[in-house]
Amino acid sequence: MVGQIGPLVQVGRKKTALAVHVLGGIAGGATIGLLLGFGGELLRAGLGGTLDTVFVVVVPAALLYTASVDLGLLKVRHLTWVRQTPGSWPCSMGHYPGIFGWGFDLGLGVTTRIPYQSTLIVPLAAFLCGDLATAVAITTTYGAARALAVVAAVESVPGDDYGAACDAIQERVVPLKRLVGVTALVIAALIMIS
Amino acid sequence: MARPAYLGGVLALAGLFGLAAAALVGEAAAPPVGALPVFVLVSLSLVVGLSTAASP
Repeated sequence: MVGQIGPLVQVGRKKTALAVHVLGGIAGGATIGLLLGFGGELLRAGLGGTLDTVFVVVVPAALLYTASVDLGLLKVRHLTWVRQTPGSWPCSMGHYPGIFGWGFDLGLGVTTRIPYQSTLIVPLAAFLCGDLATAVAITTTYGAARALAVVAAVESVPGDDYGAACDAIQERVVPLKRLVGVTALVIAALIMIS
Repeated sequence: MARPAYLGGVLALAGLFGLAAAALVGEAAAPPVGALPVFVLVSLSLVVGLSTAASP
């Protein structure tokens, strides 16, 4: 992801680029939500009310597992892949379409490298909730939040200092990983008691 | 040197977006899994999304 910051801070109008990136994130999140939500509706049509039981058991269990991995309590191999959004997109598609595509790609959530295992709960929960609107809300929020975090990272450094933007991102990794792990644990507990 | 006010504004915007999404689904659609699980899962999406993009 760091390699993609350059076009945002160094080429063209920064505010326009950031807005296009956020739109891409929202579109990507909504798209994966529609797909997973539709799949979930089909699953609900097949399983009926049993899906709610599956949801209440599987999602908290998965959250406990991913939180344990993110917090470093469970030393297992991370489920992830190496793909990143191609840095050539702004060149091959054009500057703003490429930035939109980057936001869209990140907003999908499952097509690029997964730094936190708890990220996998987002598509899992969107699918198992068995409801289109819920799935779209969950994944669109993810896509928008992920894009807005890029905006925050870019805007947290003055000027067009690409290196400082990368440094600002790097120094947040460890505390954020703990935050994600703790949040996943709390949410697992809330789902189980609800 | 970070600009905390701007950063806070962006994060607050993200939070409002998440809360609005959760409220809309919780109130209007009456999700089968219940409003609280939807609310907490949207919150999880918010935290994970904000954290994921801030990773290298």
